[in-house]
Amino acid sequence: MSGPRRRRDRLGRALRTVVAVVVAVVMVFPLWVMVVTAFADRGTFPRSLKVWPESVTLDNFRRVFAAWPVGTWFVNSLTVTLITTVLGVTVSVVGGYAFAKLRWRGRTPLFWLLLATLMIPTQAILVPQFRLVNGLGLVGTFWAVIVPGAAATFGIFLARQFMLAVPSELLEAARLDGAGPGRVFVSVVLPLCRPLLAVLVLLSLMYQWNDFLWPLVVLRDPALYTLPIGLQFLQGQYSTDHPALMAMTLLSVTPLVLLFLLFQRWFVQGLATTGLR
Amino acid sequence: MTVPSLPRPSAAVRAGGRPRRRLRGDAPAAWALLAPSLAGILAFLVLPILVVVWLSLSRWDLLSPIRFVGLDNWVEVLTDGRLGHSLLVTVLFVLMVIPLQTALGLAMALLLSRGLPGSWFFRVVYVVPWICAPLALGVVWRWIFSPYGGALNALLGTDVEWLSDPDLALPVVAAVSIWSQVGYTTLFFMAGLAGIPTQVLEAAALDGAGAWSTFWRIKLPLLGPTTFFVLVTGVIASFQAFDQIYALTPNGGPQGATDVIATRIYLEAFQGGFNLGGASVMALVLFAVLVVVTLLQQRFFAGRVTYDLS
Repeated sequence: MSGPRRRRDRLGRALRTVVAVVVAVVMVFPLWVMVVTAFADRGTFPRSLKVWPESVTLDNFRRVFAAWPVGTWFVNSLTVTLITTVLGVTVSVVGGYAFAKLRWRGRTPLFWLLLATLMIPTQAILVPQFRLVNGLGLVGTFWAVIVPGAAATFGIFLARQFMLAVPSELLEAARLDGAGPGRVFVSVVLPLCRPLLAVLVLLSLMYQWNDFLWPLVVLRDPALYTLPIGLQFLQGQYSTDHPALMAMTLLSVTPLVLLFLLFQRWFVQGLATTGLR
Repeated sequence: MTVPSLPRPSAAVRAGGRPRRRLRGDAPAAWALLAPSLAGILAFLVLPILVVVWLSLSRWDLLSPIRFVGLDNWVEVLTDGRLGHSLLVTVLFVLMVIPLQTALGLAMALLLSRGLPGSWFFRVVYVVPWICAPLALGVVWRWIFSPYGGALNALLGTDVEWLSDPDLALPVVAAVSIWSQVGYTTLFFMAGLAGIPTQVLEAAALDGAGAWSTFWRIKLPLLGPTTFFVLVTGVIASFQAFDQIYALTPNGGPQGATDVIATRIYLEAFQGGFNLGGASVMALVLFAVLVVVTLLQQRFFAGRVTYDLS
């Protein structure tokens, strides 16, 4: 490679790094404020925000834990999130395959029905949904969150889009070898879909972990509360105690951030390592 | 696994006799695979939507019995100005959010796609705001935009009332929305870029294509399905945006400047009058708008999307 070209490459790289850092600062600033506040001393904490920590203390966390069953809320969130994710991801992958790679009558209208259900605002169907779940006797149990949550329309849509990109030739070849649709799914499609699985699992965990309105409506019993409900509850209780609020917020977002730290490698490797391309 | 040679026309396969036979062959498998999700979708989504249609023709305040009133709610909602105002605010919001959110997400994904030092760090930082619950961060944003001692005013040396100025409230709320959603588009474009076969990019480089033409001629067309997905879901989400807008500017904001349609539906149904009929009408109008907008996007992409290369 010639000299000037290499120099230009290095310059471009430096420029890209600078841009990446600037964007990172903007993205992370509000989160930084949250972290600093969560560890700030309540006594000296002014109403205006501090960008640099003056002192670091764990008092805010102790205060929240002493007053509220944060541990129970955490376990509740974990239970609901994990079960819903297992069910929802299974349903999504299988449904996405049926929409993307199988040919059957009614595929297009049903796909539009699926998309249509995404277009109604949740506030509008809250009351009829509640009545239905109540009629099924699920209100006041985790199942009231888990069962409707597993009807993962968004996940099916996502899985379909991803699987459309899987070359049909691979499936045709397996078909010619005499494999049925189920066999093709298990031994050809599924191994190619590891990045999709990572995305679906991440999305589902995230959505369920953060979901607020529906669990609030159907769980009712404070012993069943999930973290977001607890957090909202604290916002009412501690409207002026920002350090306590931020400590609680930090606690609730940390598992997701850690999870993404682990998952992000899947996106780097992406489809490149699936052996397809 | 062997790599399929690239310019293989799959049309030849599809034009053959087999697909027709397969139409019937696939149906039992498809229905079996879809049965659990369809049951859930019909019960928890389609049925409630049908109830909403019925409620739009009824008067109901959650307490007294439901009374059928025909098209009264429709006439009432469509003739007074509130729905029109909310729709206008919502469309403005979507127009501010979607182009920037999509373009920035693509730019950020491209930025990270060519091995920067520590790119895993940037990847995490760009996506984390989207992972964190928007409701939880509302408190932080309210501080940042606070007119007294807020970070933004301190930084700029101004004393602007960011959230209570009717001209500024909507753009500010849109900016926060972009901040929290851009990680989503970035994530999907990163996955899409990772899916572009390296052979295609190598071939382009051998033919002497520069970064600019590689982007417009190769990457962007191949990102078609990703872009379609990101746009359709992004448009739906911003037409329905509620949590964050409500946390920053409660009850529709200064002079109704951020009275987006989801806020209006919420206020109509659960605040004041408990007018579930009117709220249902608004929800169905929003639904119709989204169906049309999604169809338009589907039309636009139908001719352009390349689903598989081989």
